[in-house]
Amino acid sequence: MGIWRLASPDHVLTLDLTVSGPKNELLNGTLVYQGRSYTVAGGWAASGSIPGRNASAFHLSGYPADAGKLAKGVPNYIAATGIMKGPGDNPSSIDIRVGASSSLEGTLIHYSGTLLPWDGSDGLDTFDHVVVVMLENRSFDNILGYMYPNGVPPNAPRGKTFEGVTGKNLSNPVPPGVKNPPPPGVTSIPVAPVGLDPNTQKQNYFQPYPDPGEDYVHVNTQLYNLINGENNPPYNLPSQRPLPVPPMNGFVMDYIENYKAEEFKGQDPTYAATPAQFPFTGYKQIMECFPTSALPVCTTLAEQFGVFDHWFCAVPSQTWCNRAFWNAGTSWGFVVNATDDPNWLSASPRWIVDSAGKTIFNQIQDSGWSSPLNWKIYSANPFVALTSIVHFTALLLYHPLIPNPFIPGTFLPNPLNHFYGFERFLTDCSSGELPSYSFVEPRFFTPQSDMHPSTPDSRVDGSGKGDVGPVLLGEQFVWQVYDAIRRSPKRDRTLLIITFDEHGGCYDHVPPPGTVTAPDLTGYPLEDSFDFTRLGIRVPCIMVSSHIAPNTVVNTPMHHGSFMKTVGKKWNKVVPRSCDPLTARVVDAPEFTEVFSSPAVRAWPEIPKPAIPADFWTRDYSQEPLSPFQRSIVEGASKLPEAQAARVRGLALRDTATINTVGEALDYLRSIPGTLPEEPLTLLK
Amino acid sequence: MSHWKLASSDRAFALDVEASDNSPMNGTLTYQGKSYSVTGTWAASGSLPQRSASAFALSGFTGKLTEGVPNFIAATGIMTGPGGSPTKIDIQVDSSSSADGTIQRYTGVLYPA
Repeated sequence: MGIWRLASPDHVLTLDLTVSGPKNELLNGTLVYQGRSYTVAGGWAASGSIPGRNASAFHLSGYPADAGKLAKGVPNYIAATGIMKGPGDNPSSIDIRVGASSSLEGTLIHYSGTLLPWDGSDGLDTFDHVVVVMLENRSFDNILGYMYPNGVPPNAPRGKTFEGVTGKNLSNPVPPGVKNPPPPGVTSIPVAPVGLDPNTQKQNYFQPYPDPGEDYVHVNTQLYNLINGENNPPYNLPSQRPLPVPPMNGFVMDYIENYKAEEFKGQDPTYAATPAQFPFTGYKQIMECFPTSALPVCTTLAEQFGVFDHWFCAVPSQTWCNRAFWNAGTSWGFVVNATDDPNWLSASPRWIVDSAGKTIFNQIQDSGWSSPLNWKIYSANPFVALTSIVHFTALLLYHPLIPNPFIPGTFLPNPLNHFYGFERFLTDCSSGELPSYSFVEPRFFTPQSDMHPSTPDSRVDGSGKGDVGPVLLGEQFVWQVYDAIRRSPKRDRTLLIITFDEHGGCYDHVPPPGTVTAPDLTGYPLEDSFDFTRLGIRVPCIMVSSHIAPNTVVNTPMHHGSFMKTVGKKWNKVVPRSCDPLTARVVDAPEFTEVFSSPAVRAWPEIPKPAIPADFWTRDYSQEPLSPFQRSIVEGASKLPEAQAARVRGLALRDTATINTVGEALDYLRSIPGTLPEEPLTLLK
Repeated sequence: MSHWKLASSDRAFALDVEASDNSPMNGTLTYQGKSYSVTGTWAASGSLPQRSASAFALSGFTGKLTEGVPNFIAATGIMTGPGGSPTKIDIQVDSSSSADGTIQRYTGVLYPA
């Protein structure tokens, strides 16, 4: 008997085999490649065991470790051969060749490398607490594209490449016949850094403005530079099937079309902004990505810890669907935010029915009273947390307050509450009381810290000074979360994940994978005929842990389903079968364990706090216009049972159609019986 | 049970295996004049939603593991055509030698032999 436990230096491939058989000639075990686990079997011939055997050669082949996937899913297959060096019960290295074939994509891939001894840890035992910060609507290129302009340092722990924008001569074409054409001779717009505000000479944190298109048909235009049908078939997709690889060349066209059709109706954007314009429009800005100097918090964390440069969102579309995929592995056939559903105004819109679908929060909840697993959702407005609206029915039992059965119209604290304010997150960090899973929402209402691009006529900071924008506030928010965990007694047992729900129409140059396993959608209508076999566009994903070494870059493609797949595996070790994959999308998702690149505990560096102008905190933002996304939260809140009950009791809740400003929206939310007031903006300080 | 019998156009590589969906594949793979006993698994295109391709993996060895000086082989590929009568196979193969420790790679297309 012997154990062969080796891994490639970048941990893209790990091998964990047992040697057995009458003459120790058989191999059985697990091979993990690109986050996917395979059960493999084979045999070998030991060097020196028989005259003429001068090398220890072997073979292996296998299939996904999840047996259900083999029978019911869309398996990949794997086969490997190579030469093992060293004693049979303690190899010193393996030169390996691996082939993989995909029944989903019909592709073959090949790996060649050297494996070295490995302790067998997949990194899942390095943390007890997971904190997820999901921001809004930024692509990978937009936030992190300018990182590593000279490549990943050669001493990086796992010797990776980095798929950024530097040195690639990336551009998008200017649509022919555009009303405000670029200067003569300019036919395409190159990627460029977001610049300074020409009025203040300070970094512009509003880009892109106004909010680019983000729903399904707009994303299709961004992918293929086509407009053919818009909200009707073929929804701006080319006619070829299977779909060709997206050229990622329609971001300029879509920015212009969205500007005219939805943001500033009937107006045409100029090519470039002038100092007189504020915030700055101009269609060339959609190709702009933030320089690292503008985002010292996010880029420092990505560099000091781990960054995934091929993390794709779940759906080529909007917020609600992508957030649903993160915590439930499906959006039940929805492609756009539920409030865009024509059925939304009915008494029981489809989302409220379908969102009864189980989430990972419910899985943790159902893991038993004695289970050490627990969860909390932290939000600036815990009663109307976006997560409680996205998973409307599944999480109804866990709101902060419940109706008082003895005094109608009043409420009592809910002993099953799982929603808390951001202030509670800060105290849970400092007291070491973080749960197993913390989902931390940024502030979604203006001035938003979610990094979401601004809605037309929004000044975000309420001053028109242009010195604070959603991206800067997002930096501040990420810093707060990071620094709170950094100072927590549970720091070394906490994994922090900073990511975005979707790209939000911001430019990215990497085509999303053309095929991915869909969740089971039997019985669900498919909006816009989308079958969920394509992923959305790349988003930033940064992971911070005491077991992630500086300059770690994970190139293996991941997607939102990778979260539930990986943490579910971890929590299944704590309570068996408690967090099995909820959907086929999650079953097939790769695991992100290769990010854990530091066996030893490492320090968390102190990062300077972003500088926010002192007068920002007292600025009046109540008159800021409500964005469609913010409106979707108000609409979702209007369906809460408490709001419905208020209407039945004759309480005069405002008609949501008349709500146009952030101040009116927050007043409305406060007017729903049983709600808690939003936490003060100064908590962001 | 289906019988896949295909070879490269130069006959340097040949495959002769029995296959049924999601069951072990067994047979012989011939490469550079050496005959390998191989086993593996495959999934049939169209047998389930989203199975858009017939993918497989095979591996095996020459002679016996407990005797002689075997070579080893690992193959993955995509089969085109009906399971009972493939029209072609795109295949990638690696082989290793316990005699001299060398590893070789082959990629090609197999057609009905």
